[in-house]
Amino acid sequence: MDEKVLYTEGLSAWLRAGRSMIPAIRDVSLTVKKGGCTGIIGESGCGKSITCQAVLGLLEHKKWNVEGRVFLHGAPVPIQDDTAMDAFRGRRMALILQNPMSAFDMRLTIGTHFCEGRRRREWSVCLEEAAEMLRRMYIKEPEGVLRSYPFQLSGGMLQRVLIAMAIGSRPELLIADEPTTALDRTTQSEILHILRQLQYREGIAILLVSHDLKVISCMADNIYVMYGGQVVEHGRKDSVLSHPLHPYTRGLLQSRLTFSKRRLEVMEGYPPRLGEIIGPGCPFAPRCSFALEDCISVSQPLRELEPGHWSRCLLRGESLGFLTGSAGTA
Amino acid sequence: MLRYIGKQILWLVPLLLLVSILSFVLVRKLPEDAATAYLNSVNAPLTEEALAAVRAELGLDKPLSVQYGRWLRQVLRGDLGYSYQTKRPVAEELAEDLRYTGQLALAALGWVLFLSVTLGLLSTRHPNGLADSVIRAFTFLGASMPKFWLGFLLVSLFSLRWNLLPVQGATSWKHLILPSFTLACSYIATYTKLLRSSILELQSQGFVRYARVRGFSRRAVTLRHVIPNALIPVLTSLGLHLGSMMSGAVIVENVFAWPGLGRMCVSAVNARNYPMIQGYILLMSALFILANLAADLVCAMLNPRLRLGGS
Repeated sequence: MDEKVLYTEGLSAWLRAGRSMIPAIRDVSLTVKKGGCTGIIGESGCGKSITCQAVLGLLEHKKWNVEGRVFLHGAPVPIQDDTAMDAFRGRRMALILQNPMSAFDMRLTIGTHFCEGRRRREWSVCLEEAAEMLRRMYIKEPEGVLRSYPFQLSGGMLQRVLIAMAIGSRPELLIADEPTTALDRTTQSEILHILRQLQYREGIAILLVSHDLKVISCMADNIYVMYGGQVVEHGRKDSVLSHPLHPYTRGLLQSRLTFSKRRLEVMEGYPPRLGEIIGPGCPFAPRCSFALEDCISVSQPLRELEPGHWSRCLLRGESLGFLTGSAGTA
Repeated sequence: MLRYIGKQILWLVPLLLLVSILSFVLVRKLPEDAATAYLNSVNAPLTEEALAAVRAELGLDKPLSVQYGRWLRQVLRGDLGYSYQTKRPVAEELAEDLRYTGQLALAALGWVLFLSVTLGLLSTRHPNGLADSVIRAFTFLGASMPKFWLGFLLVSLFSLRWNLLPVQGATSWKHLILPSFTLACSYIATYTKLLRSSILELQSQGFVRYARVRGFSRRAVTLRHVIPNALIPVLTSLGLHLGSMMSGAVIVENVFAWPGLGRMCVSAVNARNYPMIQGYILLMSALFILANLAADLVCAMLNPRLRLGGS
C-alpha cells in the first residue's frame, strides 16, 4: 500500500514580472500514495492550484519559471516540456476543476466532448462507453445527457460528466482542484461520494485541493497545509487534525463552525498576496500570535516533530500551548 | 427558427416597396433626364419637340405617381421592363451581370476567409512577435488603402511590371485574381484584427485550456475549439458584409473593367437608364436582406445556444 503514485521534489514556481520573479510556490514536496487521497488545504491564494498546475506542466514558460521535479510511479514527469506532457495529461494524470461550466465548449454536445479526437467510425462505441461511465456517476439517463449541450445541464451534473471524462482513460492520478466549491451542499456530498468510490473501487489515487476543512477531513488520509506558497505542516489526517503543530493549522481548525457554544474564533488578516512574501522567514509570522523575531528573519525547514508529522514552525507544539485534542474534536 | 425565417422574408415586401418608391423619385429628380441623356448619346439636337417625343415614347410625360403605378404593376407581373440602352429585358441583363459580380464576391469571400484565418493564427502564435508586427502593419495598410488606388497599384505591379496576370476583362480565372483580392483587401484587414483578438481571448478561456489538460495537442485544440469558436463572429459579420461587398464592387469593377453589376449600374446612371437603375436597386436590397438572413442562419447553426435557448 505504501507505493508512491505521485511524488514531487522541491517544486517551486516563480511568476515572471519584467526582470523580477515573484515566488508563488516554494519547495513543495508532496506524496500521493497508491489508492490514497492526499489533501492540500489552505486559504485562497496560498499556492494550492499553482501546485496542481505545476504538476500537470500547465504553467506557461513565458509567464512562469518552474523548478523541481515530479515523479509518477517513480518515473520523472517532463513538466517543463509542454508537448511531452500531452502523453501524461488526461491519460495518466487527470484534472477536475472548480467550475465545470467553464471546461466545456458550448458549441458541442456532451457526447462530442467524450469522443473528441476519436475517428468517426469509433464514435458509436465511444458513446456507449461514455453512457456506461455516466451511469457509474449515478446519472440516470446518460443517453439524454450525451445529446445535451453543456448549457442545458446543471453544475452538479457537469461536474459528474467532467469526472467521467477525466477517468475515462483510467488515469493513475486524479487531481481534484476544489471539485465541490461551486456546488451546493447536497451535490457536494454526492460528488465526494463518487470520488471516494473511485478511490476505493478503482484504486485511483487522488490529490484533493480544497479550502474546505470538511471536504478534506472526510476524504483525505494525508493532509498538507499550505500557506504563502509553502507547505507549513503535513502528516496523517488524524494527527494533523487532532493536534496541529503549526499555528496556522490551529487557526484554520479553530475558525470552522462547530456545534459547541464556544465563540467562533477568527483569524485576523489575510494571507499574503503574490509578491508580498519577500523575507526569508515564515510567511505566516505577521498574522501569528506566537511570532518571535527569528520567525521573520530565519527560514525554517520542515521538521519531523512527531513520527510522520512535519511542521515548519520554529516552536514545538507544546511550547505553543495548544490544548491537544480540543482543537480537533467537535 | 422557421417562424423567424418566414418573418424576415415577409419583411422583404414593405422594405422593397419603400426602397423602390424612394429610388424611383430620386432618380427622376436628377438634373438632366433620360430624354436629354438619350438625345445627347445619339448626338441629336436638343429641341423641345425631340425631347417631348422621347419622353412620350418612354412614358415620362405622365405624372410620377402614374409612372410608378405602371412600373409596379409591371414588376408584380414579373417584368422589370426593358433597358433604355440595349433594349433588352432588365431581368436578363441583371442576371448576367449578377453572375459576374457573384463570382467576384465569392472569390473575395474565399480570400477573406483563407487569409484572415491564416494571418490571425500566425499573429497569435507569438503575440507582439515579429510576425505579429508585420501583420499588424499590413492590416493597417489594408484597412486604410482606397480600393481604386490599390487596384491600380496591383495592376501596375502584377500585370505591367511582372506580366503575371491580365490587366482587365473577365475571360479566364486569372482575370478574377486581382479584382477579387482588391475587393477583399480591406475586409481581410478587418477580420484579421477581429480574429487575432478573439483567438487570444479564446486561448485563455477555460474550455480551451481544459482541452489541453485532457491531453489534446495544441494543434488539435486549435483546430477543434479555437478556430470554430473564433469564426462565429467572423461569419456573422461576413454575412452582413456580403451585401456591401457586392455593392462595393462598383469601384473595383470599373477599375478592372469587370462586366458586373457595379459597372452596369454606373453606366445606367450616366445614361439615366431608369428601368435598369430600378432593377439594380431592387436586386441589391433583396440581396442585402437575404445576406443578413443567411448570416443569422449560419450563426444559429454554429451556436447551439441561439438555436435552443438557454442560460
